Amino acid sequence: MSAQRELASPTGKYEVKKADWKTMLWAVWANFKSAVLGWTFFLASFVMNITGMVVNICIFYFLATFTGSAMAPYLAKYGGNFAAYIVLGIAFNSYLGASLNSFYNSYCNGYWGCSFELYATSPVGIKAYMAGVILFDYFVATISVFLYILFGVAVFNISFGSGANFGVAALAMIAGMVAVGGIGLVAASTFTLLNAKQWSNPVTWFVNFLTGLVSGVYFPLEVLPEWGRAIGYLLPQTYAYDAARMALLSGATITNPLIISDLSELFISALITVPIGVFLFRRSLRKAEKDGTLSRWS
Amino acid sequence: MGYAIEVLDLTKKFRKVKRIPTDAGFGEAHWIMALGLKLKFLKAEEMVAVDHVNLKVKEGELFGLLGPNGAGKTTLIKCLSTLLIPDGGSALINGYDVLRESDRVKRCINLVGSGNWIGFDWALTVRENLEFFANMYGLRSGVAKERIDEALKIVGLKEKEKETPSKISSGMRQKMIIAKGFIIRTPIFFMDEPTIGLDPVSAKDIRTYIKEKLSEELGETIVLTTHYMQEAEQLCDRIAIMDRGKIVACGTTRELKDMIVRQEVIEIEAINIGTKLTNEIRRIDLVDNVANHIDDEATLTGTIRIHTKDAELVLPAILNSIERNDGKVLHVAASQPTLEDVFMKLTGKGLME
Repeated sequence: MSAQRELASPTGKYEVKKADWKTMLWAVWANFKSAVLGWTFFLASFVMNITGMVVNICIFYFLATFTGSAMAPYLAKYGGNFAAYIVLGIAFNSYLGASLNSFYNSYCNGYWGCSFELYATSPVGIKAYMAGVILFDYFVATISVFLYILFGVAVFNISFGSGANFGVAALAMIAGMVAVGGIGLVAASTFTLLNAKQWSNPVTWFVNFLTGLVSGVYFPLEVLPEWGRAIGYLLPQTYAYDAARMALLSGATITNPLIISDLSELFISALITVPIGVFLFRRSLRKAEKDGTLSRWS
Repeated sequence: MGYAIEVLDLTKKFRKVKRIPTDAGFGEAHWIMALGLKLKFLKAEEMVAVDHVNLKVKEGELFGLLGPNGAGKTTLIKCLSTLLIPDGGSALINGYDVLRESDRVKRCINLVGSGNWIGFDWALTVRENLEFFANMYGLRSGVAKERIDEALKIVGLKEKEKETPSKISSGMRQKMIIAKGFIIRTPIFFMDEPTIGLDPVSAKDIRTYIKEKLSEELGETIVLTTHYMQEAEQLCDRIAIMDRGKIVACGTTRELKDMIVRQEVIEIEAINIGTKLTNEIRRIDLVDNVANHIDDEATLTGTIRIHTKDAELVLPAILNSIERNDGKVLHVAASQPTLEDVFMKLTGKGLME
């Protein structure tokens, strides 16, 4: 008992001390390490995913070669290089995909791995568990981004040029991650609220479907019909990709009106999605505590 | 001495939800089914798992919750350990309200469940998993090592400490859960059927540790659920008997047994003791309650316990009944009342039924 801080409770008995920031960070790190360890068992699956995406890049690149200069007018503000456009689109999509999927994935892991009940009664709480798993998703996304860009540079000779503005690109991606993270929280809430427990939920399915089609991952929005563009402008991903590409491929600075417009849209999106996401996620946890479904076999 | 746990009128209801068929043809788009089932869920029938329970557990007491499967023991423990939000009533744990001060409650409790995969990291060894828990609760490394060594020794897992959970048996994983509980010290310790699935020797060692170390030496308040009456009888200072969500009796073993002091108990070991026979015996005059325990399903061999007001008078009728049902009597004895007899008197059925 001496190892635990003794506090005065109404009955005068000792309690386990509240987790300090060091313990919280340790718990997040330990869960991250554990996820990495598990991932190394299924490395083949990661390699296959990357291969699939690289094939996608090639398909779009050769399609662009086939269409010739027809794409050029649409790519002017991004430096005119379609290979760079597509490689960056797919790379950025890995990050924003992690923001969209990781909350739901970590919830699934916690429920099916029976970890939530254990963490819920511990001083670190389930947030430490979820943070570790989410961190792992970003870690995998970072490796993917690195591999895509490496592939683009080695095979298609893409270059960012001396004017690339990495700071603005990073700012756009962070703002995008926050705004899309709000949608990710809504997706995670469907686990309990809609009983979407089988590693698939309506929110990520629908947003992923729209992102691929109308957010500018694979082709500029300008090639879409008006209704497609209108839907695309509702997605935060659209603004994040646009700003990050302009910053890296055309060297756009923070004072560029287009960048200011994109960042403002991302800020407004985050103001809408994050509170809704937090509200619904809290409701879903509350429902799980009412139904006794924090973990399987409850 | 104050109360470590005070439960007032606690109620928990569940809705009986139909399970979504996984082979319904929707594959990963399973949530489409879920949307449809929401409507059915609204019409679902309610099941009362914990029914207006009132309970007080003294500080340092080793308290047992005894009842058959489905009696509501685990639901009650989950409500008290903040994992489940009750629908009505209130509960104070170490003086804190489970609903309004759940964070403080969590810092006063330790929970050992059963289910053998609860939160273990399958990539870590048994010892590494326990070190992980110790770190999570902020134990210094020296204290953690000492407690882990002691816990592994008590549960008999010392030789398996370098194995991963997937490479040990389910009984050993249950021991891991118990070992995890033993390394954390809190004023209140909830143990939900801790010895289920364990071999008798390990179960005995664990019971001894709970009684002698945790309860008597460290003075922890322990609430233990079980459907093993011997475990409850051997360990607990007081026992509450639960059935269908209600506490039907509460007291020391002596007090509970005194409830059936005016009854005689006959224990008959026999072959072919099916439900038909049990029902026939139940209809005999002066027989109050009957319960059977089948030890061998193939031959229906086991023990029938009968409560009666006059054993001498009813015994011939019972033996006739067994003979008529093609049974064979192996042994007949007058028995001392057990906690199961108390349960039978209160609920009209056996603990294992």
